[in-house]
Amino acid sequence: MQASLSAVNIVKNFGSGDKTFKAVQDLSFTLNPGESVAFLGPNGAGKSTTIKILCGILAPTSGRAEISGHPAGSLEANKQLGLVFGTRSQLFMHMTIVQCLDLISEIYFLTGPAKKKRIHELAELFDITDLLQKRVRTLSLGQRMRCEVVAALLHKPKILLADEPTIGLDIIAKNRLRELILRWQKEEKSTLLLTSHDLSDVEALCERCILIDHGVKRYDGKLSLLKGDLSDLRRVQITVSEQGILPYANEGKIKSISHEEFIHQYELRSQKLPMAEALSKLSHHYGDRLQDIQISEVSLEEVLAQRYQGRP
Amino acid sequence: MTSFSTSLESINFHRRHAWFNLREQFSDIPTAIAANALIPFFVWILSEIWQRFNSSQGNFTLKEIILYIGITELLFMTFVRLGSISRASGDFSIALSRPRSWLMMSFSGLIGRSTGGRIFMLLMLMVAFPLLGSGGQLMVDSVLRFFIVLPWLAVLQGLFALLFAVAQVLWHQTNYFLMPFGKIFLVLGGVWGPVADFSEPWKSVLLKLPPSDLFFQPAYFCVKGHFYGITAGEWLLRTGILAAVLALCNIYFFRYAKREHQAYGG
Repeated sequence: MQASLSAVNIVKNFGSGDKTFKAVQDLSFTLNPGESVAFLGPNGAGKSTTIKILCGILAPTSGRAEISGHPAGSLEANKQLGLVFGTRSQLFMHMTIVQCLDLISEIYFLTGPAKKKRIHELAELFDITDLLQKRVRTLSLGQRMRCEVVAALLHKPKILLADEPTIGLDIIAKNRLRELILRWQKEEKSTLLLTSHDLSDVEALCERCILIDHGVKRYDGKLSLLKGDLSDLRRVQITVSEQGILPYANEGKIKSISHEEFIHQYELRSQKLPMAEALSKLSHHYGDRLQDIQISEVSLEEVLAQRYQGRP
Repeated sequence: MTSFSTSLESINFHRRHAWFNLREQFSDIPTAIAANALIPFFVWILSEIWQRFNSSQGNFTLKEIILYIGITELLFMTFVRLGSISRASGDFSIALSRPRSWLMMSFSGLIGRSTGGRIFMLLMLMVAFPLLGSGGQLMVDSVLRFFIVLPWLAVLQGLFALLFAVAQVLWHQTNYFLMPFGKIFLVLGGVWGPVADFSEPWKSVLLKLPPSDLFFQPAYFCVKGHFYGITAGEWLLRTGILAAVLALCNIYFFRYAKREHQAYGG
């Protein structure tokens, strides 16, 4: 099977001699058709440099990047690539959406009836039909981002690179955009490479993640496995009705983290102690003074923060 | 696809891109009118000043002066504008990931924007000229002649602006350089330049400089129906050589900027 995108031993250095800065070091990965992959890393990790190399904006110092078998930056590779940037617009503020989409289609050699058909197809899919005759400057950010995504998909790219596509959107607009991207991906079976600091985007859209730091790949695998040995860690928060109640005596399997006036917090490993048993013990301890229980997993933010720890 | 049909497709695309940019200039008419509302007033003031400075020469009648000032003002107000240049240079990075040449797209965009801006200002001046006492057949003839030189002037303006756009990619900030550049062109080629009461050899020198070919000569042609001291062929040859030099400079600096861009990082 032809990979949608492949990065092979990519190295990118800036400067020369003693002042050489190694932005990306021997980075390799492959994205298969239909995959959704998050490309994560802290600021300065080399994410944007890698994305620029994959888009053909930057040339690697050594190694190679290919889009559907074509060298990154070549005409054929650029035709297969769709780009969405949350922080920069492809649209023209003073023109109508349909005029912008018309021009962007032609940039990607899509003309005539096929262009019109595609614009209306995507307009329906992304629910922007009512916006087509409106000027870009009159749209809300959520509406504009849906139009930006449509603009990036007009030429049926085999791979969509989305850089912070939901930045600045409220939760409703974010969820809507994510749903639409998922629907598009399901329909067109394209590949998605997402970079975002909003991990709720990552969890909603991606199954796999590549984590880089200091230009080196630290993790490449299922998002669910990124949590590693923290995946069975559960936090239990108990709200009690009276002050001065002592926390549950620590047996080693249920660890008391904190206890303030009405809130007691515990951590436990669900692999070692089944949750039903843990809850039974806790409810027995608190009796009718137990008012509420909340159970949570370790968040992706915490996992990444732990992995980023120790970096300068 | 054969190379001929590819070239044809490319020409068609850039023509449509220029048209898109031209239309964009007419997309917010109230703002554009407000931005240009004082231009007729400048034309009136400059015409009055000119009359006093240049009274001994008698090269232009008052009606012609108003038209000449209006056309040169229009050309200057739409020459290497910061907004267009910033937009072209801002597109540089992303354009490298598109299947179209940034150089050509920027060029056609600049041509479209400057042409749109010039037509818009001309329409405003066509309302103002009669109010300033310079309407009638002379204005109609001048406007029609203006449309003859407009496409070629748009190409020349586009090449100059593109050079600044590439410079902005290289140095990030060129607006401090842009203003003196525009003013030098204004001094050497425009309102007070070649037909003012300069003695020789200055007059000949001024007439041979690019600012004269870009501003004075076209405006003179619009008003008088012929170029000053040269034939239309000579003007085309001189501006053609200028265009070729600018095009080569653009290609060279674009390649240089593309290489330099490699140092920008993520």
